[in-house]
Amino acid sequence: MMGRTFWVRSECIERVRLAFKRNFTSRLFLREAAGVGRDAVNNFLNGRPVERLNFEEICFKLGLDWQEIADLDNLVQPHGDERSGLQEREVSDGQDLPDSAFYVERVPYETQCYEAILQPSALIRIKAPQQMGKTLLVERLLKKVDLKGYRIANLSLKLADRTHFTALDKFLRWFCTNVSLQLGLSSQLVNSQLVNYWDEESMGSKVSCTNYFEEYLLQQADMPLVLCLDDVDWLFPYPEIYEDFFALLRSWHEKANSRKLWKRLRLVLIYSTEVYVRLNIEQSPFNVGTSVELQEFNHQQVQDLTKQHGFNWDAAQVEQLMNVIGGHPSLVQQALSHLKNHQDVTLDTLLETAPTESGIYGNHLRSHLLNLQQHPDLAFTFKKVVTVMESVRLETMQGYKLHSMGLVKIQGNEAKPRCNLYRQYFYDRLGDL
Amino acid sequence: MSAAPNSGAPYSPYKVTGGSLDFNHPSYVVRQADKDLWDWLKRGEFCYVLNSRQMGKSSLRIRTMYKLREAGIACAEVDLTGIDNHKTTTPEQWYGGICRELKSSLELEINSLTWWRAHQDLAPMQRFSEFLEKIVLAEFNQKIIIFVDEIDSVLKLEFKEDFFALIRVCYEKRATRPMYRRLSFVLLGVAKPSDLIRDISRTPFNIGQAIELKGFQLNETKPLKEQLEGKTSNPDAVLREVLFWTNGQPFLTQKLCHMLWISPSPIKSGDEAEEIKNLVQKCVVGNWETHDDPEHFKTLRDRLLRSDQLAIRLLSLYQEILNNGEIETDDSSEQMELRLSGLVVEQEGKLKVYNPIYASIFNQNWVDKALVKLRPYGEALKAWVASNYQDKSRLLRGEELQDALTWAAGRRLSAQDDKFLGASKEAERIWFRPHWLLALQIALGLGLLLVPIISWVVNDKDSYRLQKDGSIWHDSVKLDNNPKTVAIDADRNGLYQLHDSGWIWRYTGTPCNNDLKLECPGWEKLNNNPKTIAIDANGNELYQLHIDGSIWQYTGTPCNNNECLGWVELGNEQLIGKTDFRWEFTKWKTMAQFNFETPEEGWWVTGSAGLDFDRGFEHSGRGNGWIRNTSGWNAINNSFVVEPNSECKMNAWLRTSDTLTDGYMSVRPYNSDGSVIKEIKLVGAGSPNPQNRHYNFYTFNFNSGSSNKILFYVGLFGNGRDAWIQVDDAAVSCGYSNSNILKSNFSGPLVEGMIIQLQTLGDINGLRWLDGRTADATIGLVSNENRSFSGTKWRVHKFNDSDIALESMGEINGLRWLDGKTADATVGLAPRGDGSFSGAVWKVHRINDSDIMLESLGTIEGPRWLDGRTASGTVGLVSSENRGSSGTKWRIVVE
Repeated sequence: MMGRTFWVRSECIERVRLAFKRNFTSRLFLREAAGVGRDAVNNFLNGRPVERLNFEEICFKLGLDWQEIADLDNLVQPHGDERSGLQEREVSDGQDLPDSAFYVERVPYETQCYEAILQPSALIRIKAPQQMGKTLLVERLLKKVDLKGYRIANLSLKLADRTHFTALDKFLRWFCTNVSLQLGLSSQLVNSQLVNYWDEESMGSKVSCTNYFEEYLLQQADMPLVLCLDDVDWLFPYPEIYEDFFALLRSWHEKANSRKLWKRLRLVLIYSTEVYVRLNIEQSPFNVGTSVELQEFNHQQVQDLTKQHGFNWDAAQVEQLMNVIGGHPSLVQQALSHLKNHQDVTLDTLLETAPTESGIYGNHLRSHLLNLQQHPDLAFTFKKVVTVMESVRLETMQGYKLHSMGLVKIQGNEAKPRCNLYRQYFYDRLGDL
Repeated sequence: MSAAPNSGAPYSPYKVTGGSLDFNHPSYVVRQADKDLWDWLKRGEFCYVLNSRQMGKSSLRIRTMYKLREAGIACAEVDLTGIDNHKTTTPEQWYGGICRELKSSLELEINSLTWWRAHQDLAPMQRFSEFLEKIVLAEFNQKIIIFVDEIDSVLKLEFKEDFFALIRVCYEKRATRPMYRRLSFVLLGVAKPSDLIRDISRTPFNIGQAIELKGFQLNETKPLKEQLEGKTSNPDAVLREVLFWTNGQPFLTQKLCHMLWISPSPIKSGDEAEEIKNLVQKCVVGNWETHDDPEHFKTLRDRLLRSDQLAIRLLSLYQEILNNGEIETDDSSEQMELRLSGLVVEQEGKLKVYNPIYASIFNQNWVDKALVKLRPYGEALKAWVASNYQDKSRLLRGEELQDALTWAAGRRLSAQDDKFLGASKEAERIWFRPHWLLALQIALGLGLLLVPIISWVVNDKDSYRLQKDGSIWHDSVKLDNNPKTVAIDADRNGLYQLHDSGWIWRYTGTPCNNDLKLECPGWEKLNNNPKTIAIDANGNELYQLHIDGSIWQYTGTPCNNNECLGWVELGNEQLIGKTDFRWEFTKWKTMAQFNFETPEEGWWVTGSAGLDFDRGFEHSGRGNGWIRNTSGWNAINNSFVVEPNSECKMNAWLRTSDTLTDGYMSVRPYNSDGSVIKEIKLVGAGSPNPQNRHYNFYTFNFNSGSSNKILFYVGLFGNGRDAWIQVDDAAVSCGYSNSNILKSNFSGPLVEGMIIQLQTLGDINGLRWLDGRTADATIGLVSNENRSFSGTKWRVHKFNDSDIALESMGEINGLRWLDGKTADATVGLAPRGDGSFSGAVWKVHRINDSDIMLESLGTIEGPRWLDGRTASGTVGLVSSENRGSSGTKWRIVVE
């Protein structure tokens, strides 16, 4: 059973917009052609939730394959909402989304990050696979420094589309523009300021970018400026861009050693995979600053969460839950919300159907499955991981990919399924490969 | 792992977060280098700190700058990491960027950008020089020191040498312009001076002062010790143990101190050695990959393994040091490179592994594994060595050996490799020689000959030459005398020639007679097909190439009168694995030739080498080049200009001494960081060859890649014995690459799945090849040179006999279906080619066998004929009235 609302995956939004431009001259025509309402079209084009039938119809009219572009994982919010912090997600039928009122403090990461970001010229690197709670952690961090009056630019590199990655100058201009917009400057103002400080021909793109920050952005207020870059790994396929961009970030970090102004800049870099690209360590931002690697909940943290949900579980029950899903933050929260909302369901019955598509993780599991089916080599590797009881030695890149998708745990060069839930479900579903 | 010891890093008194230390950091260790740099700078000297990574270069810079500023000296810093430094960066951008950084660092009031733009009449370097004099020097009355950090960032820049030359010029100006006495430079980075500038007359490095940056010495480490007070009862003993493990390597010393500092249980007096050993084993060495954050060891490893050509040699050198404890330093470039990695250190004339931590991580076992991985024959070599060089079954044979030799040809390997390959060759009883039997085009050829030679070919034992008059020779014996000959080739089975008529002949062993009426009956006809444009005798097989791109193999049956049935066409399956044809066709062009007949051929020498005239050592004519020494690198070098991406052959006649162990004939990009395009290694004396004064013919093919200027050299590394090479009659010729000659007009039907290129027949000269840019979904035209772009290749998808879709083969992911937008007469790329986008369906209109017009079937009314505009390099749609214009005609070209 599929959930009833879909939205366009953020990385497909540009594609969708292109298809729209190519086929229709106005949104009105698309509405008429697909026979849907205005909100549906607007939401669709902005990556917000759209009712399933409408979603498919619009895709059909645009000549797009809806399964290719839909974000089928209802547990991950589309980007627009995540950024603005709006809580307007639609609960799909029967699916329980974690209630953010219940939040377990991520010890010791939260204090670590907070204390680090107060330091002049701080650089914090947060690494964890998908659905480990990075976004929530960062949101809380930014809220705290917001109260201190810090200026905040929170930017996901996923929002850049492919054309921005074709040339360094394009990318850096996109970067500066969006950082400025995030800081509340109007795009008109940004454009006029860029003209003043930017001259690729005369001093190159990197120096232009530095010039803009140093002469303009950092001068705007006497407060620290937190530059939080999410999905940094999005750049890894583009060596022409990332080598220069990362070197630039590092040079800014180093500038603070001798220039006071640059102490204002606080960098937060967030990524879900190992930094497998090779950089000169003296020109890399990944070799400096504070590194934070989020781990799953431990027993105590799960126990605390059950208490917050009003359950009075003993250690054995916590153990029973963790035996299936480990300390996977979003799966744990989902289970607890479900149990809370459906008092008739017991932990036993919940866990019994958990590894099936009719269980509460049906959508979550299916979206992983769909993802794997699009990458047969990964599916094949992962099948090996779930069939063998011991750890399996993986080729490095495949290991990184599966780890960043949150499907495996890696120790040394060996991988295991992240939790028994995955082992059971994928053993069943990938068996025919 | 969050268990990495640096979590919670900001609060440690030690430096564990990577990067450089603030000037007042509590754990800054003042070293001899601090004093040296200070002293030399006070004297106004140019200084450079070229050292391995994570030795504290930038920390030294920051602290020195702070102290200098306190002393009233103006300091500027330029961190080259922040300056554009990719291959396409122009001097304008680079120097302009540096000016901005100087302005910012010196807090000058001037708007450097405005100034820079206003002086565009000056060339960038000149403008920079002007900026230094008119702005920087004019602004300050006191001394100014410019620190340039991360100097290795310039390695990719073509114009890097000019920058260093400029620094020298600033020093030279001091004699006449006193103001320049106030200006000094400090360069810091990971490079050898010779990587940065080769020209000895322009280099600043021989007038400046090298600052040696050593590890922490025990007597310098008071700041580290102070922080340990209270954490341990005997900080002295603890620090001594730490330094034992790190040998003062700054990064590791700080890291260990930090681990001790955060450790909850203080180390008991007397247990220092044991406990610190355990700590090192558990948290540094054991599972080092997981603890290596900030990265240190991985970088060391990568630097060692990064050069495909050098890795084995560096590892073998390191292995030698590991086994013997130390070796003598000799300043060879390998030793310098190994020292730059940071893995080894020079102490009192010996190279040693830097510290016990490195020796435990990069231990014998690790080196063994790495070597096995690097060598295609790693396992076999290991087993052979283990058998004490006895087990002959481990030696390489046949194809395996041939592959290994091909692989080895471009590399500098260890003595063990050479021994192993040598033993294998001996066992196989084959001579190592270039795989290909190649022709050489020397317009003048041997000085004695009256008629110019156009090519040489050699096989195992003989060399043949084709002269411009079409005659073919074996030494002084004439084999044929036919002006129709355009190419010859030879292999173990024989000698072949190709006529301009396309006919192919094989030599049967009877030379021309010496009668007045010259007759050359020694040729047997193998083929008479006018389509033939090239031949290749390859190993034991003969192939011919037809103008339509098809390749045929000779089966051994010669022509019977005019019936030539001895050829089979090779299908795609049979061509797999046979991709390395080298066609002997007529379109070679000599790019350079070096006959050593005058001193003006542009040679320059490195080490002990030179030119001889009338000494009687030449291969032909009067002169030759020589290289001779017992030590160091010695070479004669020259350069030549080529078209980028062309297929070239380098040839030379060389005579070598039997003492030679490490000679090279090599071509490299002229402006590069030392990458090798192609080289062959020369070992020992060549085969006896009295007809050629014991010179032997050496040749290899190479592709010029992106370079348009090539460095050519012949040289040797001394090995303690007197070794020499003599060089004569070298030449380089370049031709069209295989892929170009293979492409020809296509005249068949368009078939589902075939890959085509489309060339517009527009009557204005300009760009012609249809190029789909998947990166941004646009279409344009590119030049003939750029038609190798993946976007110029299109896959045909057929809807029916006349309607097709064209899919761009562009490498970058993106939209790829050629799409005519009839609404606004533009073209672009669509996401699908299955008919769902009507504009991406094209009707093919045949003009003739190879030329077509394409009509978009977009549903919206508008212009629909695909039109290439050669003048502007753009593509659009034109209306039916204009469909006959030349730009709408496209030629189909098939690989």
